[in-house]
Amino acid sequence: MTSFILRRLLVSVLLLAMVSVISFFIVTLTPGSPYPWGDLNPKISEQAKAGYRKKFHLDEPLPRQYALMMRDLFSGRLVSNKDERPVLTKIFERVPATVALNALSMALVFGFGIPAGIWAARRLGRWPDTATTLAAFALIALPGFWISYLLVIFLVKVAGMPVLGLATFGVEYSGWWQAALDRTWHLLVPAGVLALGGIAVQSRYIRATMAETLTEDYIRTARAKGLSEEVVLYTHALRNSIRPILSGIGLLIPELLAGSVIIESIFAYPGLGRLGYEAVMERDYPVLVALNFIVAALVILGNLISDLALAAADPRVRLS
Amino acid sequence: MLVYGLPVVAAVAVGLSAFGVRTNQFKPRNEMVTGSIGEAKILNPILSTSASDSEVEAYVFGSLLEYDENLEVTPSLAESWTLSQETTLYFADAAAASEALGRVQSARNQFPDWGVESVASDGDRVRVRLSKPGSAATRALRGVIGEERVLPLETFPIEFGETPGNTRDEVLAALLTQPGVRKIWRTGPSQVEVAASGAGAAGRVADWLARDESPGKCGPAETLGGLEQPEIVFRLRKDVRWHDGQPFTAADAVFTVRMLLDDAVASPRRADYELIESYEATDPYTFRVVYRRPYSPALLSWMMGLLPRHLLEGKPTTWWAENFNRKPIGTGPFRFAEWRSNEYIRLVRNDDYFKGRPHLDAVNLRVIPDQVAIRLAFETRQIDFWAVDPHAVGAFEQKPEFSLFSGPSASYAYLGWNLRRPLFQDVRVRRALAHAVNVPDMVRYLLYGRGSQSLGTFPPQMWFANPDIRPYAYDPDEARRLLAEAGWVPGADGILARDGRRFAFDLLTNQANEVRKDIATLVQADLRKIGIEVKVQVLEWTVFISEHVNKADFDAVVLGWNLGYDYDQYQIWHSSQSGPGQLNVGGYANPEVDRLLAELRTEFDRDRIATLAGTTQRLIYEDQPYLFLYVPESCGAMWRDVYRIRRPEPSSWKEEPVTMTKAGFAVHREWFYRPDHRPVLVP
Repeated sequence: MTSFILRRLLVSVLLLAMVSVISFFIVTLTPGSPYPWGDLNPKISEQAKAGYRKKFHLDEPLPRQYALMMRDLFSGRLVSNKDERPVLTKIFERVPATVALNALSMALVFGFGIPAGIWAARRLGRWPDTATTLAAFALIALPGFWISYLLVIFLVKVAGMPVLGLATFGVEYSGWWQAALDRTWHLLVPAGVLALGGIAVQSRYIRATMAETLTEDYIRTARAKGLSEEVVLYTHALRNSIRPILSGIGLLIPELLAGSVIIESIFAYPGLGRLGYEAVMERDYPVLVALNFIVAALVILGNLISDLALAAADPRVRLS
Repeated sequence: MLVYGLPVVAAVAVGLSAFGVRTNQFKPRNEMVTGSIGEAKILNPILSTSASDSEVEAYVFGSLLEYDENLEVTPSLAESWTLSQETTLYFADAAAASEALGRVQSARNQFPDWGVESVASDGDRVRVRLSKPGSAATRALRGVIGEERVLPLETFPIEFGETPGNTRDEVLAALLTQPGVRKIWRTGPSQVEVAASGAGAAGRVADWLARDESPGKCGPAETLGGLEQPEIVFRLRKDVRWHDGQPFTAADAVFTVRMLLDDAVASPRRADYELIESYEATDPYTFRVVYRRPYSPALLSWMMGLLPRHLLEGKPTTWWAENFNRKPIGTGPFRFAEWRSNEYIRLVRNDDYFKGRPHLDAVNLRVIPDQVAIRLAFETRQIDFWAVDPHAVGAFEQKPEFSLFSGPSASYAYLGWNLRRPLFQDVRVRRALAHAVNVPDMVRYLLYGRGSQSLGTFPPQMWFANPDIRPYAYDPDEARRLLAEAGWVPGADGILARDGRRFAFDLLTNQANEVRKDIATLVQADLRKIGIEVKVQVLEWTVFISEHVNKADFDAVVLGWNLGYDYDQYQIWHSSQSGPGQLNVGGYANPEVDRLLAELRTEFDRDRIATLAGTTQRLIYEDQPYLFLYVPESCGAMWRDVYRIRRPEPSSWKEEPVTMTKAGFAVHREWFYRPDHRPVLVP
C-alpha cells in the first residue's frame, strides 16, 4: 500500500512536469499578442513594447521563460502579465464563490439525478420512463446558454426578480436575513442552470444500472425474503447501482474548481471560469499556466483518492 | 425516502429565497450605479491602457489639464500654464554669431508677431527666447540672418545594444568633445539621441564611431534649422489635497514623469514623454518641462492622472500592484472604496474635492460581461446608464421613460487599399471605387441610421476637421466612366479588364466582428454591379494582423480606427511609417502630405493647426488611400430624469438636464445629482 502510494506520487510529479511543459508551450505558441493595449495602437512606441517584454521576461528564449515561470510559480512570486498581481492571489480570491456554485450544482446533479433515475428504472417502458427520457435528452441537447437566457429573461422581465451577481446590489442595507435569502437565491439560480445537463446525464446512468440491478437474482431473493420495497431498492439495489459513480468521486474535486464561462458571464458571477477565459483572451500566460497546473494537480490527486477509495470499498481490488 | 430529501430541501430553498428577494424593499440611495462589459485592470494612470481603467481613473485621479465638455483643453490641477520656446542657432564661429545677433536685434521690433522676448549670443551660438513655441519664428529668424550663415543641425540616434554602461559612458564623454556635437540626450537604456551642427555632421560622427571601433551604431539623421526647445510652465493650485490628506505639490508631478520614463516601470504611455529634455519643480507649486524639439500634441499628454509621490516613492511596481493599483489614492472627486474582482468597484464622495463637494454619495461601477444581461439590468433599473447597441436604439427612442443621447464617435470604418499593388495605384480607380460603394445604405442597414459618411481621417466634431469636404456620392455611372478613363473596360464575362488582366481582388477582414463582415458583403455586391470581382476572406484576428496587415500581404482590408481627439496622425499617413508592423499599412506616400504632417506636429498656433489639419484631411480624402466608410454614433440611454447636472459657476450654480456634449453624455459626473436627493448647496 505505502509503496503503491509512493510510486503513484513519483509518477504524478513526472506527469505534472509534462503537463506544465505542454501547457506552457500551447499557451505561449498560440498566435496573438500578449500586450495589454492590443494590436495597431499608435500611442505605443517600440520602446514601450520592449520595456513591457523585458519586464515580464517575454524577450527571453522560451525554455528560459518556462524555467523562470516555474521558479516564480513555486516560490509564489508569479505575477499576471496584465496587472502584476500575484497569480495565486488572483486565483484564490475566486475559489470561495466558485466552490460554492459548483458544490451546490453538484449536489443538485446527484440530488435530482439519482431519484429521477430510480423513478424511471422502476417504471421501465411505461410513461414516467418515456417522459424522463425525453426530458433528459432535451436537456442534453439544448445548449446551456439558451436555457440560461430564457430563464434570465423570464425571471427578470416577467417575475421581476434580480439574478445578476452574488447578491442584489445594495442588499447589505436591508436586514441580515433578507441578505442571506438574497445570496441563497443568487446562488441557486445559476447553480440550477449549471446542474441541468448533469442531472440529465446522471439520471440516464442511474436508470441503466438500476434497471439492470433490479433484474439480478439477489433482488428477487431479497423480495422473496419479504423485505420491504424500500429496503430492497435503497439498501440492496441502489448500493450496487451507484458504484460506478462513487468510483469516480475523486474526479469531482477538480470539477469543484472548473468554471463555466457561459453561465458565469450570463449571471455576472465572479468565478474561475471567467478568470480563465479572460486570461485566454488577453494572452495572460502566467495565469493560464498556473490555472492549468493547479487543475492538473487536482485531477491527479482525485484519481489517487478514487483508487484508494475503491480499494477500501471493494475487497476484489488490490493495489500493487 | 432519503433520496427525495434533497429535491425537497432545494424546492423549499428556492421558494423561501424567492419570497425573500421579491418582498425586499430597497430604499433609493443617493448613489450612481453603472454597468460595463469590461472590467478595469489597473487603476494607475501611467500603467493602464483600457477604456474601463480610464473610466474609473477619471473619478479618482486628477490631471494638470483636462478636456471640458466641448473638448477644449482647460486647467485642472494646474491653475494656468504658459508656453514659450528657446531657439538656439549655431554658427561657424563667434564672429558670425555676433553678427547674426545684431541682425536679429534690429529686426525684432519690426516683427512683433514673432514673439521674440530676448536675444543673446554665447560663443558660436545665438539664443532667442520666444513667447510662442513652434518652428515658424525660427524660419523667420533664419531668413533675417541669411539661410547660408546659419549652420544646419543634424539629429540622429546612436544604438549601443548590449554594451556595458561604463564603456558607453566613456564613448559618450569622448563624443561630446567632437567638433560640432552640441547635445546628447539619453532616450533609452541603450540609446542616445545626438544633435550636431554643420552639414554632414551626422556622417562625421558615424565615421568617428566606426574608426574608434566603438560599440555604437548611428541611425538615420534628420536635418533641422536650429535647436528649438519649447517649454511649458504649469502653475499649480494650492488648495488640492490627496485623498489621504497630504497636500498635492509639483513634486508629485515630477515623480509621475520620473515613473513614466522609468525602465523598471515600463509604462506603455512613455511615448508621449520621450521628447522631454528636463522637468523640475521650480517651487512647490510650479512645474516646468522643457522639450528636445517642438511637438505640439505633447500638451495633451498633461491630461495624464498624477501619482502621489509620498505613497509610491521607492516602492517596486510589484508592490504597487496590490497596494496602489487596486486601491488608488488620487485627488479626484471620488475616493476609492472597494473593488471586488468581476463584481464591482465602489467609489465614495470626496468631501475635500478642490472644485467643491460632489453631489452623489457614491458611484458603483458594476461589471456585467454579457450583452443581454446588461440590457436587462438597465431595463430593470439595476444600472442607470446603458451604451445602447445601434439595433436597439429605435426601441428606446419610442419609450418616454428613457432619455437617449447620441453623437458622433471618434472612430471610423474604412476599406484600406494596398497601394503597393498595381490594381490600386491609379487615383482614378480609387475614386471610382469610392463612387461605387453605397455608403449611405451601409449606414442605414448596418447602423440603423446611427452614423454618417466619413469625410476623411478626422472625426467631424473636432475643431481641426475640415468642414468643406464633400463626400463622394454613390454614383455607379461616374465610377464606370472613371474606370473606363483608366483603361478598365468590361470583358466577356462582364468583369472589367485591362491588358488582359481582370479587375478582381481579395478583401480581408477579421472574425468576431459581424459589422465588418457585413461591410465586406455589401462592398462585394456593390462592386459586382460595376464589374469588379471581390473575394471576401474572413480571418482570425491575430492571423489577420500578424500575417497580412503587418506584412502588407493583402489587396484590401476592412478595418476601423479609433484615434481619439489628436490631430497628429503622422504614424498613420507619413510615408516613413509604411514598414512592416508600422501603421501606414497601405503604403500611402504623398510628399505634400508628408510635409504637412511633419509641420502639424511642430505647430502650436490654433488657427494654423486647423488650416494645416484641414488641408491634410482634404489631400488625403482626394487621394483615397482608404475608402472612408462611416463614422458611427455612440449612443447612450438613461432612465428619464434620474440625474440632472448642477455645476458650480464662479458665484452660483448652473442647473441643466443631462445632454450630449462633444465629449459624451455623462462627463464630469461629480456634478450629477438625483432630483430625489437635492444637493446640499455649498458653493
